[in-house]
Amino acid sequence: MRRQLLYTLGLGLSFFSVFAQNPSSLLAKAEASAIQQSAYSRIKMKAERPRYTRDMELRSWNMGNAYSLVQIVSPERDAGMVYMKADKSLMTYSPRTGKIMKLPSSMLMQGWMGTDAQFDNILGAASLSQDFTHSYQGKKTVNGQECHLIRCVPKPATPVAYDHVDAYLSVQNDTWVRLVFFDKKGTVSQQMDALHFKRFDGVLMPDEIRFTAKDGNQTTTLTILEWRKRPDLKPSWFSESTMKNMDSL
Amino acid sequence: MPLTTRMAWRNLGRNRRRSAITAAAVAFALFFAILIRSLQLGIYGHMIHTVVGGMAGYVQVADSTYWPSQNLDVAMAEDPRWLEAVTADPDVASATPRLAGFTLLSHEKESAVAQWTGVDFAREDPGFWETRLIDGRFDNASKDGPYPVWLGRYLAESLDAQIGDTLVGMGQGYQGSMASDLMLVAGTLRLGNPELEKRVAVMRLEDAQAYSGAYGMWGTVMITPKNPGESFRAAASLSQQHPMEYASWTSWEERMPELQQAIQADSAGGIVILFILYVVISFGLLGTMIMLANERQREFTMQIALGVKRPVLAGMVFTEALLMGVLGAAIGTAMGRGVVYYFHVRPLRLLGDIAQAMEQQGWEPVLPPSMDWSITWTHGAIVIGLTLLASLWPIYVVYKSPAIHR
Repeated sequence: MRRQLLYTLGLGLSFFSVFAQNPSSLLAKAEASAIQQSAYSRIKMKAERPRYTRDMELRSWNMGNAYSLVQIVSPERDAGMVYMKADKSLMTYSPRTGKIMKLPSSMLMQGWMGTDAQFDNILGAASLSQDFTHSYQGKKTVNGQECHLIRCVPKPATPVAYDHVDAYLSVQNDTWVRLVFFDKKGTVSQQMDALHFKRFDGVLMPDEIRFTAKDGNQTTTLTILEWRKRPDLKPSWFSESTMKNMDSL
Repeated sequence: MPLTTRMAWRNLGRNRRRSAITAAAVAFALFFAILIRSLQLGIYGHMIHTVVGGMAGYVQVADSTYWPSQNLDVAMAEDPRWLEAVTADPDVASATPRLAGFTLLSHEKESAVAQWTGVDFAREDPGFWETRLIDGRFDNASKDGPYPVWLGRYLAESLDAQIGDTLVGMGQGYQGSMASDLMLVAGTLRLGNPELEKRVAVMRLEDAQAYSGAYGMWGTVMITPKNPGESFRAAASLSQQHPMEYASWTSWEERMPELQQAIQADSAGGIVILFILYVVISFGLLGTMIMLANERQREFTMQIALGVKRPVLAGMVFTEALLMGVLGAAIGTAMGRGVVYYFHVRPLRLLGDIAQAMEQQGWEPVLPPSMDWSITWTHGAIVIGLTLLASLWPIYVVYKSPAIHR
């Protein structure tokens, strides 16, 4: 009797997965729209705190999610600071000291420059489609859009601090609408919401993203001002000499 | 001098050995009490002073959300007029602003997390900082160029930095800005607290403000009251007299309850030992008093028979006990204070494992005794009181003695 029940259950499950969309391919499509490109962009960030708000402007170059370089344009005090992620190493250059410092990769999970965005978000995150295993959790409406909910659990070798990530992908167009990052205790450590979408250089992508940290009373809004494909970028371009000579770019 | 007092004094000399034994019991009790208590209270004072006095402040004024995270983002705007008013308060010995935060310091291949602390040297006691300096100077730091920084000695050791070396500092600045700049090692410091010596990097206040981007801000204001023992009360009364918006005033007892509790628990142990000492001494005194009453039974009877009133006789015995108590207390005070003074000049220094354990807990391994006279007065009064209590036995015997002895 019990065995029979198990068979029925197993059969049911396999039917379900045949009819459901393949979550991995959905994620791959969502990432292909923006993250996997080589591009240059100009970004505005606004961090809102109970006591203060802080505006920043950045220039960013990236090649997929493995290579990326970010320069701060404003405010004046921090202008010229450069962060670079080249494959596995993380570096920063400060024009005041004229020195390049290596940062521990554990800093990837920390808040970046007093915002709710993590280093990871700014300098290229682990790929949800490649570095995680997926399970389809059904459909839900988020921010006014019908979405597929896909639960992503990191593969053992992926160096991330999350327990799992809930990705909400739009049914209409192939973009993500909300990402919720859960820590090992099962509580939300970060949430990202795509508030607005725009087509840059022929690619549809969220151009206004809101980051919400743990307790929810502080947010950071990221707005993409400009985005251009840069297929000419090569890994060798992401070097220490580029970091030191940013003004010519 | 009344007759009873004169007779009491002469009676002390009639059996010198008995008087000496009684006075010696009192003297030794007081000697040990002063020694134990002075060392104990002195060690607590030393602990509080090294942990609290130099870097944390007996009373601290900070934004009400500053503790316990010590977040630089909630620094307070400078208010020089308020600071003048607080400094001028008769209950305040000193009031000095500080600004502190955490940063990564690196020197060549070594790097360490440091707590940079901006200090307004013009306001602080120059003697305090001069005595803390192991190497280097405070006055020759240049106005421009890299910020001069004075490192805790263990921090300098772990960075492998010498005076004149350039460090690269990088960390979170004020409200999300970056703190990243060069620093020049201008000296190394001994702060009496190895925990601090491992992480503190002292800067000038204006340099700290520029480094972190918190221009015109104070992190905290440290206040040393005239009477540091009254920090708790001082925090409450000063906050009434010199109000500051959004700020909270805390005494060290509130910020470091664990230190306060450790002291109270340890102090209770010391009091138990003293109690045992006093019980033993009391029975010794009672013994000599019973001996006295027995030996002088015949004398009491004789005097009563001659017409001396019992209350007068009792008063005389009481005065004898008082004189012996005071005499013993004087000798005990002289011995106790002498030894305590010797240790005050040459404090006991712990060696070996205990010293290391103490250093790890955050204070210099010395045992300086307290020179507070109140210890002497309290315990002097206790031993004299015990002597008088014991003298109730001979007084009882006086009243019980018949006028005619068999």
